[in-house]
Amino acid sequence: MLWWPGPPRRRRAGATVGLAVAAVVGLAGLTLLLLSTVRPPAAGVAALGTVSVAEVPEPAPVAATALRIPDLGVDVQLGEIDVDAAGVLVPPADPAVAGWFAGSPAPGDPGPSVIVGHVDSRAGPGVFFGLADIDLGAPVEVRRSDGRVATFRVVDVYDVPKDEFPTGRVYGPVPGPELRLITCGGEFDADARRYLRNVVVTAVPVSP
Amino acid sequence: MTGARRVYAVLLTLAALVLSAPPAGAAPGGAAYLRLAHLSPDTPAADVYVASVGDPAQSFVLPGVGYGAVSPYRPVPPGAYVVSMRAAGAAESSPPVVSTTVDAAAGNAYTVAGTGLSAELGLSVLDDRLDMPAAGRASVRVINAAVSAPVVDCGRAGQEPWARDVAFGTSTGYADVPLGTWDLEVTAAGRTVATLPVTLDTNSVYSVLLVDRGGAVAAELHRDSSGTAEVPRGGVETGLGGTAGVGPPHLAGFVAALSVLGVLVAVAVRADSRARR
Repeated sequence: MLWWPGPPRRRRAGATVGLAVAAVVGLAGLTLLLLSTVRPPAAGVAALGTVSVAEVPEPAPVAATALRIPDLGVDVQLGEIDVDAAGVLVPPADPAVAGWFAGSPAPGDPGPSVIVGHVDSRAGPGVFFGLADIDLGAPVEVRRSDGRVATFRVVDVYDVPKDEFPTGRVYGPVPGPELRLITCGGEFDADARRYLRNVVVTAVPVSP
Repeated sequence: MTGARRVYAVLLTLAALVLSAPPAGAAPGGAAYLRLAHLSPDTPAADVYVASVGDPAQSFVLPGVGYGAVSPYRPVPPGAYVVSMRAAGAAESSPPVVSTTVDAAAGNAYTVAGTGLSAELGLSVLDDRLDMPAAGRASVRVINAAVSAPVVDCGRAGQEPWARDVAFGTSTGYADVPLGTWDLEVTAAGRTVATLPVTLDTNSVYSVLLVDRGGAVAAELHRDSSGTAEVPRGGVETGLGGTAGVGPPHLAGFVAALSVLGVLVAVAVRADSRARR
């Protein structure tokens, strides 16, 4: 899911120039996307954001840009992740970085907003190491591209075999804004070099 | 009971506890959701009290809820809640007009609605669906709170209705209906009483609420719940094993439990051999 600036609603004198600029920046964004499944937010987003504000009246879709989990010492920028051709969610390439699923709502908007991170790399702990042991009630803050910060508290931690992944429970309808933090856990299959379970943390907004 | 038997009993109990402890994924945890609705056309605005039986700190009040109002959902800890309606402004100590109890389970959502005419006002607890609709469909139900149309059918304009004979004060179950933008038509005795253009999104659940507005029926679409716009297939590969040697901490807990069992076995065997002597 790209942050294309939407088509201008009205044709104006500067529209042609604007379109050209948008095309160049769009191409740059596409290149970035091809280079990595997780786009570094600093470069791509800032450039696209400036153009959309200056030339296109359509508001850019809101994305998650940074994640803070004080209890785990997590304070990271968020990239965007998406599904591959087979429909499987592709985690961030860098185990030190977490990624927000661009097919899920922005954190704080109704529905389950999904953030994925590695429990470890080949070398050591990843960004979501220790997630399986996070305390209920632990605060989680997510910064959004519109400047808002959505604050959640952990209400559930569970792990499931990957081959029985509870799709409905993770991605299905919920009545309000919720957050899903997903990583790996359980037994590590050394031959396949993969963990056999997923750890899922559910968080809801701090009480109104 | 000899000492050895007692140790065996403790041992068996402990073993049973360890073995029967459900995997973390078995019982759904998390929040329950509650919302309130005033669906009684001739009942004046009310203060709705929601009292948590287990934790008074979780209680709250929605003041001045008028006919047709549907509150936002509120995430609450699972448990029992007493919902009471009092006339707006009435003292909290005064007896409620109606009240009911909701057993709110984790991972479930409920609409508690004041329904019927004022003379027979009741509080209904509706179970709100949170299941994913079938691909290409949205889940929709109809809640008839319009006494001016006591029995209605509901469906897509020009097609067979998917909700039939929906009586005033009742709600239908959920129907999976096509996504996209189309006209919803409400008919009573074959006559169209309301039309509403609706846009239904994927992975979403809706309620169509019928209310009396100035002597006519108005249909309103409420989006109750929504999921991700795109639904990934299966789990996520988020580990390369760099910390698998030290083991994730919950594995360490399991190992610790096993060692405790080991020690107890040793104690039991010793006690047993001593008892035989």
